[in-house]
Amino acid sequence: MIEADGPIQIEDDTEKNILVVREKYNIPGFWKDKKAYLVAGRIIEELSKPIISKRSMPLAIRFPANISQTIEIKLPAPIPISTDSGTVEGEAIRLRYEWERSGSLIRLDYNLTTLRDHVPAEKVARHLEVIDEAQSVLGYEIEQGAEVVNWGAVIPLLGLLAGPVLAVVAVLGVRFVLRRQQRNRFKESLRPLPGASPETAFRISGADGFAHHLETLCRWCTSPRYRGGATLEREGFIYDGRRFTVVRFACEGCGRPHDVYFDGVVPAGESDGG
Amino acid sequence: MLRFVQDEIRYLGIELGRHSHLPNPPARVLERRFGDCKDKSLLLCTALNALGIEAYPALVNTEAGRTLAERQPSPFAFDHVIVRARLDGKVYWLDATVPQQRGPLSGLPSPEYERALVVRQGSGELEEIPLLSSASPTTSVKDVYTVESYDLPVLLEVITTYREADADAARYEMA
Repeated sequence: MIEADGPIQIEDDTEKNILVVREKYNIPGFWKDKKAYLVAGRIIEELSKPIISKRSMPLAIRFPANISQTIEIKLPAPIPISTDSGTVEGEAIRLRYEWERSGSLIRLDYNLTTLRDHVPAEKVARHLEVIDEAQSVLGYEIEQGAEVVNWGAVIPLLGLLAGPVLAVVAVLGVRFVLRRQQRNRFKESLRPLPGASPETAFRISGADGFAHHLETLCRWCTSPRYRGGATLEREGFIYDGRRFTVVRFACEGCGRPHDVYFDGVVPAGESDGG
Repeated sequence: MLRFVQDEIRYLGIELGRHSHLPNPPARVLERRFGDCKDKSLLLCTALNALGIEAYPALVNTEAGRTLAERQPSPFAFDHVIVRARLDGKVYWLDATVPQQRGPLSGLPSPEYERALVVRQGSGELEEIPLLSSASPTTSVKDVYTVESYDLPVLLEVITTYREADADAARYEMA
């Protein structure tokens, strides 16, 4: 659970029209299995995908928009990370990113600008691919306690054994694998879980019931989120021409809200029996 | 003057009868300290004109953007009124209904309506309201995590800096 560490401070320079908000928090559960994700949440917020992706109309984009986010983490000791920088650019957005490390300080820099106020209907599919690509670099997984690889010592050793070319290839190969693993793990964390969105909605049949789909572990407290005691709220809606039902309830372990999507209509009386 | 009309005249419309389309006289708006977009815009224009500044109300559509020009002429084409003012040869688009807007006139963001019909003698064409991109970020977030020990809670400091229209929006949300 995140705890506020003092009141929010606001500085408002009305002459220059600059408003600064400072917040401080303590996060006891920052590490999960000695790992943590650093996520550029403000940028992700701006890169949300439309509910309907197959469109005959253009997709509106907030323009102009220019947003930056920097994430710094000061660690007790250096850990290995893959430094990188690049640009993801499409029809309507440009995301620049740079990951760097200086001793035990890791710094992730992001800047998002929008380039136009809409995406033509025929280019929306490509735009969504660009968003996917952008989202894959908007977070970073770090692992505590891992030792920093001393490239300075490794390179001469490899050079003696197999020559300088092999050394460079080996170093680049390791860095590539490390980077790809970190990105893939982050992408995996962004992928909607089964039932967490209309795209991954559970199919229901009359005989099958649905309550067993609610009984998986809570992603926050990791205890069973539904054991038959929570109040279930249903809401039907039509998405992309199909009928869905979203079932809302509070986790019986920690009280946090959950939405579970079903492809079809969940009858009111069925609930609760599963 | 802009700040006065934005902050001291409550944005409130009682759009009954003819005043659903006809603005109230500026003196009445000033006296009762509330008005809708056309009331506030006319009051601002009147005050600016009295100060020797050229200013006209301008009709806009808050949803259509530049596609407004593709629509058929209609009294229902517009849903909002702003002000087009000219000062020292430069045109400014002012929205008298924006609360908590701050900063110098030179840094004032243009309303994002893109097209406007300026209400003045002989005006028959839509005028472009340019959308200006900011060279520097208008929202900057800095998250600083401090891990003194892996056994202790992590301290997170978040510093969010808003500029230009984002500062106005953030100020309004917090007010």
